[in-house]
Amino acid sequence: MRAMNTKIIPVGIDLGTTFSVIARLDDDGRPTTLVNAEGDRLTPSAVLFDGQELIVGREALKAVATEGDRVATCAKRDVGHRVFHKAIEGRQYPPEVIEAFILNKLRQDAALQVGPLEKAVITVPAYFDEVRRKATQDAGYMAGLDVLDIINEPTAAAVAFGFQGGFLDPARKGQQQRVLVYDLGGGTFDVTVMEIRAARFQTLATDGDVQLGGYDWDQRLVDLIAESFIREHQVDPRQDSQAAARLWRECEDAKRTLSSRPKATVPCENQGRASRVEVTREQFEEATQDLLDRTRFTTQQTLRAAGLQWSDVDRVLLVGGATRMPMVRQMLQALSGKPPDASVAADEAVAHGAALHAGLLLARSQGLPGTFRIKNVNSHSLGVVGIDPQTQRRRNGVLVPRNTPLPVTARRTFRTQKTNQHTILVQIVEGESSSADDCNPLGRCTVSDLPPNMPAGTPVDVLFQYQSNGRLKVRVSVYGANRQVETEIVRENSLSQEDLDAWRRFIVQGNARG
Amino acid sequence: MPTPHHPPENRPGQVPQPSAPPGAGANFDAENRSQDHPNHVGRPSQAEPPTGSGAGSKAIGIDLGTTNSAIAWVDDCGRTAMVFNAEGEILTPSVVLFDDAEVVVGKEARSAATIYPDRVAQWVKRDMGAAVYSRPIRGNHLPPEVIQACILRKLKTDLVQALGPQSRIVITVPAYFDELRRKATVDAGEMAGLTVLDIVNEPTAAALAFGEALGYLDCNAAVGASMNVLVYDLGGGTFDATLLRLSPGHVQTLATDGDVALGGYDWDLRLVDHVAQAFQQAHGCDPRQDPAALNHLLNAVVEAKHTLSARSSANVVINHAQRSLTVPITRALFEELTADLLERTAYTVRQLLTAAKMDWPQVTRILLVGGSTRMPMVSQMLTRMSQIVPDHRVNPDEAVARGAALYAHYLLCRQGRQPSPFQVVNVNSHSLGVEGIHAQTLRKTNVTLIPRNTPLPAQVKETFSTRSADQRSIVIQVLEGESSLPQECTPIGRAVIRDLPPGLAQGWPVEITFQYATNGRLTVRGVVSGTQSETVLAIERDVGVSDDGLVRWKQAVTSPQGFRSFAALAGPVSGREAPSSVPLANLGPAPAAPPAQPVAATAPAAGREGTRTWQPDRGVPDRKPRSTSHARTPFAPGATKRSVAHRWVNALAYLLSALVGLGLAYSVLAWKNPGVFPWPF
Repeated sequence: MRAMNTKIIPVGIDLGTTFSVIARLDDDGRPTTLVNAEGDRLTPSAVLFDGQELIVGREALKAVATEGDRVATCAKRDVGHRVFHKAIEGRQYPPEVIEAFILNKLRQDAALQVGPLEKAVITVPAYFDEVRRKATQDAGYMAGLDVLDIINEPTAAAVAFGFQGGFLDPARKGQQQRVLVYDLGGGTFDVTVMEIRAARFQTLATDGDVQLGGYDWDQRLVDLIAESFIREHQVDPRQDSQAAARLWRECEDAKRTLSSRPKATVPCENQGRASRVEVTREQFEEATQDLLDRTRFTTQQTLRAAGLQWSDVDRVLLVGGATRMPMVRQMLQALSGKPPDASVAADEAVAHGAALHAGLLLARSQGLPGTFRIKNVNSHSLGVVGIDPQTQRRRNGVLVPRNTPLPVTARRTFRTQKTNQHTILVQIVEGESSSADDCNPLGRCTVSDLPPNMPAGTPVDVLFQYQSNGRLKVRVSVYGANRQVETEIVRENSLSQEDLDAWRRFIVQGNARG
Repeated sequence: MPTPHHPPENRPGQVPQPSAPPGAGANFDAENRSQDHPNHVGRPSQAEPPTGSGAGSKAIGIDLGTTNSAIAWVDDCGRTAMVFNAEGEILTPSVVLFDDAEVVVGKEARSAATIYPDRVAQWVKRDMGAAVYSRPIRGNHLPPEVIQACILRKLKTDLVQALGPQSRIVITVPAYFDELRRKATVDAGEMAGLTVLDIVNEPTAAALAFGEALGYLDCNAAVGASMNVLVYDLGGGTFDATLLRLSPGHVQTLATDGDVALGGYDWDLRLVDHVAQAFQQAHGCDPRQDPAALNHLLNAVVEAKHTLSARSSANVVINHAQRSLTVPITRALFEELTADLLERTAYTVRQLLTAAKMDWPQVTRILLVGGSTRMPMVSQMLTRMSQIVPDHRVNPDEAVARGAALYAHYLLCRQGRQPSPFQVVNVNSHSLGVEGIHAQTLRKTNVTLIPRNTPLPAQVKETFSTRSADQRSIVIQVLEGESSLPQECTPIGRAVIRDLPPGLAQGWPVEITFQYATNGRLTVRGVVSGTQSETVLAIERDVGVSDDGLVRWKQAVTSPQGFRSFAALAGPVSGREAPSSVPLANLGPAPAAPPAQPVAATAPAAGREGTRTWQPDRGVPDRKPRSTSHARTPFAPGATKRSVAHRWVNALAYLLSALVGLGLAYSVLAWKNPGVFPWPF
């Protein structure tokens, strides 16, 4: 390509469970979604391992019906684990590698339109823990990106909303807004309460449901149509995999149609029988009422966790494609007493917010003043495993409770257990339980070669530095021993730097399989 | 409907061409710009006040495509944005389902095609300009523009839902659409209750979107020098290739060429044929015979085509007559099956460069538009040909709609007497001329007034002369096409000057003015010198839906009553005149004549005018009898002599044949009854 722009283009990536979106900041600083090579704004987060080729997106999703064993979907749900939940053609892939394939497709397709790009901000759900954030960052690295930051999806959505609503304008610094972000995506559901004040975005509370999304609504609609078809023809269209795949696709379409029209017709065919099954919005809403109730419950709970009433919330912000369903809007309006705000593009707001954040970070790195600031909270309590001196049980000594604004530095003093202890093992865990065994181990660090004859109960100082991107630095100092160990969380499941580099070479160059 | 495209070598015939390339003179140009209000093209729009862009009137563009349509608008910041349809998508399939109770457009209609094939109309754009849609809908013939109007109606509903009440829009057409198809497109807009501000060529629109992406639409923009851009637009049903020059604040079309019946659909059909033949070999029956199975097959091959853009092989599964077959197709096979289609586009591109007198090194960029350009073979072919890697900067699905919105913005700025941020210069895609009589050969010829690829707006004035003394009416038969033979051109309309004052001398000068607006619509004006009053003519419609029909159809399109309202109208309308039956009144059998000699036209005035013999119209009631019109032909004395001699020869021939007949009859009598009729010798 002749004379491509060589200017650095900040991009934001919404790496979703079912769909991913990439957006850039244009020359005027406005976020714009970039379409993929197929012309779509949403790229299905599916990877097909097709012989020597790797296919990401629509074609991979299409292959699920016929070559399902070669397709990886919903890798985001496995991020943080050592390997993806199923082996593909006999190979075990780390989930972050599958995520990297998706990111690489987004990067390459976007580069066709705007020239090479690498500076990116990637979003993660608010409930993602440290391990999964690091894995997401690694996925970005392996895809040839320079990951500027990892931010929470609801935060990104609120930034996009703030940009559109003019809250990032320095002239409107005095204004304050409390926003509840209701994010119902394809596979996950999140609620976050935020405060926007003086162009600062502060998260007050966050909660969610990892296994609830538009997908579940589709399933109900498929069942509804199939039952009606069975009544008419005594044949179940869900039994033939091809017919089922087609029915699924038609139902997804019908779900969207039902958002704009009171009824839709779904063509359904199996074993030579065909009919157009009509379904009304009321039927659909009745069949999915319990799903909606689950989101209402979570929403109420999150609001309570933030210590707020509905009257304290200025705006209910809708994010995620599934919020286009009128039932969601009606439910939220009834709950909050105010019409929810759908002014940001439901599918794209998260990526747009991420792009705005990327632009901000780039500008700051070039010495320009930023126009807004983000304050996150941590979604899970962080602590260190200690032994209860009385019960001798392993307990979780919390340093940073959940919903603490970030960045935060916390210090807690522990004591050595025995006399003449040579090494101290500091295990970092994440979770709300007081029992260490119920928490998620994040990593460990060891202080070794302690001077001999240290008395039992020598104070050991543990310092957590939790940055706003969710990364954790741990410093352990032992009094009197003049020993200090500093570490960034080392994940037990993470890939080594050599592995990362090897994957990066392989993915970016697209050569033979690694 | 024959494609009025002829290879350029047919063009220089024996017709004297206007001696100077047409192009508006400076003084007229200025006058033209001020009059050239876009509204005077679409008929019902004429009522629209010409000034005042209207508060709240947003700039909206519609890409009315063969397979998909899209809407874009220019937002308050002056940027283009896409309008989402009610289904939450940018592309609306251009498919109409005529159901009992309602007319459904879009994705649902497309899905219904496999269940009710005879209720679904698709790829209608390919039939634009024809009298009726190529397939009957539930046993009725519908005009293609009515079906297009149904699509536009749905788009309008979505538009209103997204942006509030808006009805003033710009619609795009392929650059290669001729006058008939353009007019039909405007009619479709009117029937859908839209005010068509203008129609604009798709490649021009795509270039505008490209210009926006590159920052070329702002005349103050500090972007680079001008560049030549080749727009390769392969859509679902049409192909266009256009060369443009982009410079800051200025978009100029240099040349355009194309094929109105070549698109992704043809690629699909190749796959359909391949798969159907395989099925036939395996099971002995042809799934193409069953409309529902054919639609299934079409859906399956479209999916396979998309897959082959990403993968090297795909499977087409086909179920028909209780039998099933899986046909694997590799990308290589697909490219082999469609190589000639691709070559047709390559040929057109080469022709285009020749027409623009340009070579590849002078082309700066290649811009890909239309979903079919996603097939890897397209980029590969163009890269091989030009050594330029095609540009993917604009989304091929959105570029045209965005450009149309920008063009609407430009028009609204001009209407509001505001300076528009950029200028657009277009060219015409087909030569325009009138049917004349060659002074020497007396053959009917197509006299081109505006050759193809002339920058628009263009105005050409040419002086013709009456054919006989005391001629009372003149017919101006307007032709579109490159051939010198009127039979090979598309008659696009007829203007008649009636009630000429009696006693005009033969060879009286008649001034014909063609005014071709930027949107590719034509106005014809005829002035008979010395008659004191100017005679301004409007083209009489030869084809398409009549004005009355337009109003009736509009009611059907805008009232949500399902198919019944269409069926009621389809009867009377299906009997309307076929395009070929009307405009040929001037085409009598050509008289035998000696080989034609090129005749120099009478010295053209001001280098732009010529004089030609004008033939009186036989279809007009108060014409002179043909015999008198044959008496003398002005400005061509040689031709007159030959004509008189010819009459004598004819008379002699009659006399001779009469004598021979008499002789023969007498011989028979003499043979039968030699007694009564004796042999003379």
